[in-house]
Amino acid sequence: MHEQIQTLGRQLTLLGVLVLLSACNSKTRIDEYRQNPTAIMNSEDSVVILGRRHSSGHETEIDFVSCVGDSLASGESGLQVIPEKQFVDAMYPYFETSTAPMDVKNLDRLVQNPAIAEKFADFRLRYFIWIDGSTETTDKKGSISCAVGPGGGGCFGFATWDDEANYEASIWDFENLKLSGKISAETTGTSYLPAIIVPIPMLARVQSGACKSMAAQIKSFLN
Amino acid sequence: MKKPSKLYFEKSKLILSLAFLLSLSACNQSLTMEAKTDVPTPLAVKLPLSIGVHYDENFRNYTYEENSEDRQNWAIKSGTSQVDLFERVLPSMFQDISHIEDISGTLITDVDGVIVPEVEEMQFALPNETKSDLYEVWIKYKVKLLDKNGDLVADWPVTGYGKSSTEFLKSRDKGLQAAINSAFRDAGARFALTFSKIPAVCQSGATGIC
Repeated sequence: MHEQIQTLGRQLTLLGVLVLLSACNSKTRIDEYRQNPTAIMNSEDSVVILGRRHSSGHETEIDFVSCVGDSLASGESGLQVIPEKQFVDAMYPYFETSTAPMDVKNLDRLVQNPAIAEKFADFRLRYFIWIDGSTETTDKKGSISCAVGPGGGGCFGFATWDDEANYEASIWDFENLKLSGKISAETTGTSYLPAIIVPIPMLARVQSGACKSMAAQIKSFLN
Repeated sequence: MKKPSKLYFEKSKLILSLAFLLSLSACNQSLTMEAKTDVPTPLAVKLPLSIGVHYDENFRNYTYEENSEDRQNWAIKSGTSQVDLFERVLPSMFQDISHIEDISGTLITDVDGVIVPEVEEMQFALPNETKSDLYEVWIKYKVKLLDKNGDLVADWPVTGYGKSSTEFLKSRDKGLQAAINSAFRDAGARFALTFSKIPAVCQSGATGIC
């Protein structure tokens, strides 16, 4: 009888852990729109991934842009990716938030400037990838209280929150000065924070999920 | 019932004092910081002009000060950074740059014109004030162009806007610092890109660039 209770206890604990682990999973939806065909890139050709930050309500996170860049550069079919800061600093003042081209046609005007054309040639740029979006917490529930006393301290309670990541990548073909297409990624997930003396965070990796999915889709779009 | 020991009371007093000090520091709104700038050298084709630049005392030592209910004893020094910004941008725009210490009533030879930047206004917005996730900074300069005689040829506003998102464990100082740097970059970019398009500058005999 005692053994049966122990086995049941173990099974319930395992079930609880599995429920909690599956609960903080995130879901991603990817949409792709292709306007023009893409050419296979030479091994020396490179892409630059830039974040749009002109909107007053949000700004595309630097770490999201670098995450997509790192994912694109990794693996056997990895692309040559120019880091955002290196590119924006080298092209200053033409790719600042308020001065960056908003349309692929504006690149034509930029390359009329010999200094800019020379820099583009140095980078061996083939595609510009502009990412616009952000990750936001859309809902919060529950509460956690912490207390400290002479005998020690601890936290008790339960909190949960929903995160939503929405990003859109516009791919510009620099050689043909045309929009190649757009890829959007929408990821949602719920995180949990139960606290029994010590808070145990179970975080839904929403931004990371959107980054990996978007990078994989861009890679397949360009290859 | 066991009487609490003296050590127990000492420990409790220490914890209460620490909690009190922590709560006091959490309410402290004062801010003293020195703005830093990290503006790259602009990519530009130099105009064939010899330009003088004059930074007055107010510009060199510019400090934003505010003492209100929400912003007690705010002092953000940015004079050095503003000079650094123009020192980085101007040499990439003009063939030759020289520093003019005194512009009062003397004939300035060897230059086509003298640029005098002034800070007109600086504004800050914190996330709790705008109910957003952003630190925001606006800066407005008045840039004057003088001729060789020290007479005003043109003046025009140059604005810069910068923002920085709140991140986990990012302090107010770091958030403001990033937004200030972003505003400096923006102002430098706008100045470099619009200088030759300002009608009065373009048409003036001092520059003759049109």
